[in-house]
Amino acid sequence: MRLIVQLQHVAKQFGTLPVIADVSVTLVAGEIISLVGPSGCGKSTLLRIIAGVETVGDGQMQRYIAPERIGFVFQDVRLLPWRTALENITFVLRDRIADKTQRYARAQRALQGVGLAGFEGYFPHQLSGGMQKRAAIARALAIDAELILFDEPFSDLDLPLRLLLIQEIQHVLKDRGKTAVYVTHDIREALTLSDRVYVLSARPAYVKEIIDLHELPRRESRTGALTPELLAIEARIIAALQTETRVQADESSIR
Amino acid sequence: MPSPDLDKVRLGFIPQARRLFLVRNPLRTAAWGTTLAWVISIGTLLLLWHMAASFYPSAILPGPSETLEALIWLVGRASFYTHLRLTAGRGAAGFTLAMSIGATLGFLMGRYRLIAWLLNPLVAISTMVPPIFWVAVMIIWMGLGSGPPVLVVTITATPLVAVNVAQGMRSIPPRLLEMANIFRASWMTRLREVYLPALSGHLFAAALIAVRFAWRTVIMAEFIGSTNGLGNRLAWARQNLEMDLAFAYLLVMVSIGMTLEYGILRPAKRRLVWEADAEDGDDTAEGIRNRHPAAAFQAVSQQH
Repeated sequence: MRLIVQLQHVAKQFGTLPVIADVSVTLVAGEIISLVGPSGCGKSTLLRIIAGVETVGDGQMQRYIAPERIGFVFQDVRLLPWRTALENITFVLRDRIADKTQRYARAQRALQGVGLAGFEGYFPHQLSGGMQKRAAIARALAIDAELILFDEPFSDLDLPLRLLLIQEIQHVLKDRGKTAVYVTHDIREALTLSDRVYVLSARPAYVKEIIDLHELPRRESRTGALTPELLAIEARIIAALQTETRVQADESSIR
Repeated sequence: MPSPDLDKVRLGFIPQARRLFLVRNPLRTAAWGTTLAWVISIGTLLLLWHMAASFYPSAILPGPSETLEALIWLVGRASFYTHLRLTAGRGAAGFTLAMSIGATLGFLMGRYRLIAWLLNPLVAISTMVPPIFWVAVMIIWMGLGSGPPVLVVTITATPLVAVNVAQGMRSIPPRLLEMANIFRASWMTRLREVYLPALSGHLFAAALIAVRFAWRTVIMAEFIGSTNGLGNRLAWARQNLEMDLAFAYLLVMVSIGMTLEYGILRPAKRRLVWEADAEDGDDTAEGIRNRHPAAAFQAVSQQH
């Protein structure tokens, strides 16, 4: 078991506002974990800390991989609007692969890998929402990332497309042995995709519960529906998060 | 071709008067309409000039025909091209210096708040200094020659470029910069792939302003600050009361300025500048109007 990232009692506050109270996460190579929690609970901040663009407040973080090998998939895609799909991939390869031919070949393969063959020359605004997400995923995969961080990447897509993309990235991640942290407020996404789910509390976040799904079959193989075990877990998480939402509501009504 | 109904829907938010002006009057938008406007204005100008000149002796106000004669005489002389080359070289040098210094300053002003805070008052003051002051001072400091025109252009055009570029810096989405940061893009990669394309529109606008400014200022600076160049020749023509020659020089100056802007810079725009709406479709007024009514309104109002 190779460690990828370890967070030990990480806390963070912005000014006087505590965002993360106490979060410990251990991430092992090849594992997909999800962070679920109510909106605004500090999930994204946690992800940005792991990515290295936000400092650790209190506590400790160890990364056992090079920062150049962390990929990121954003909720708002963040493709360069003045570059084509292919050039958006070569953009992140520029400083990693010196040879131009190799760079373009790699970028092309990355786009093919997410089903965007034939769309290399399209600009982001010419691609549909789902295709933009695919290009963003290709960008994160192209740099040969060991760890890929997802920040609610599909929250603005419709449900069928969302489920399709979730299954696809699960296949891709597992096939290539990638490690991933997936932030979402959609519990079903988390249950479908991940090996472990970290349920976070309302802000400031602490880990309420860790659900290990390694041993569980996710879906009925025939119908594609969630298994009864997962549905029960889903109900439990929803109940836990609803009490969190209530805590927030109470606090705000007191003020 | 969009149907009139579609146009009505797309332009629904533009008041009636403007809608008429945008949609119904092809003279204002079609390419041949623009050409016609040029022909009419220049024709009117020539006519007025001719009429006015007939009231005065040509030593006071030469008419179009005398000016043309002087121009033909002028372009036949070898020394004219020496002066032209000198002026063009000085203008180009000043322009290049202003663009590089201005773009660097603008970049830094946009990037670091402290630098903007320090430089903003200086920029504000510098725009109020009459260029002729710099000419006078430069002659004392550097003597007559190429120094004053080049430096005066540089000093006066640099703040204009810096302000434009600084403004462009503020329009770059921070989310894209953060993306580049997360993917560990090097400084060079960021500059080439994020900053330059994002700034291209503002850099182009800055270049247009700087070209216009450089061309007019270099001639003014040569007028008193040099012993050669078109500005100096204009000074000689004035001193010798050769008004037809002075007007011939004016024609030369205006046509070179127009060539720079409409012959070189504007045609190059589509290749150099990234525009949010311009990747597909034509760039004619019609094309812009079909894509985006707001852009069309802007494009049309810029033309007038």
